[in-house]
Amino acid sequence: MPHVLSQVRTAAVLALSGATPAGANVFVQEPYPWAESQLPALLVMASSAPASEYLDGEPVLRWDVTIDVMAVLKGTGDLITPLDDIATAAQIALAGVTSVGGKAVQCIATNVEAPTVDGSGDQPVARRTVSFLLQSLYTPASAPDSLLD
Amino acid sequence: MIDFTPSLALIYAQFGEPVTIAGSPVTAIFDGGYIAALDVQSTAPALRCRASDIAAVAVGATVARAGVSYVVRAIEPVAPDELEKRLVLERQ
Repeated sequence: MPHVLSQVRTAAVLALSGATPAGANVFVQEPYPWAESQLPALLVMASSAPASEYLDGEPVLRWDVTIDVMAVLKGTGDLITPLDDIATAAQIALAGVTSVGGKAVQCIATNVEAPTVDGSGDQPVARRTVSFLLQSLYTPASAPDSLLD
Repeated sequence: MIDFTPSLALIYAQFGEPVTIAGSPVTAIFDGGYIAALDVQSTAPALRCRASDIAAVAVGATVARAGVSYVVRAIEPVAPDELEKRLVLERQ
């Protein structure tokens, strides 16, 4: 099985694809540079600082995973409302992630950044990251790809 | 002070191209260099114009060049004599 973070990322991408105004433009690796044809887009990143727990003497890690969903847009006029729309749709989509690898989880939004806008190009570009917390998954410390009950 | 007006006439005759600014035909020098804005592929379109040709042009004016429409987002003087101005454009 893939690493637990990879499993979470895959579940997030599956939930987000087609569920927001970004459509199928959901990436796990940021293209450089973004092409206009790839926008609007979402970039999905997963990270965690696992906590160690000892059950029956065997090290176990609890993974509370932060999922960062960055929306990227380019265009004229109002870019903030579309970012709000994406944030709303992403929040609804990820609230629907109730299991990863067959294990029950809960995914809630924890932070919605202020948008960043850059008008130095031929059309303004805007970004915003919405962060989520997915709780909780457990693995053996020696096997971060094996989910425990 | 040196009068660069005749030199500008030669430069614009050589490097200028016809564009339409706020409905009026103007000879201007287009610059569309590549930039990455927040890592998104972009260009930075701008027009260099003789100030006398665009005296009445304001931010928000429309520009047509080579079949593409733009809006003027900023007007910058070109140092040092301000005989020219640079129009910063947004593609529509």
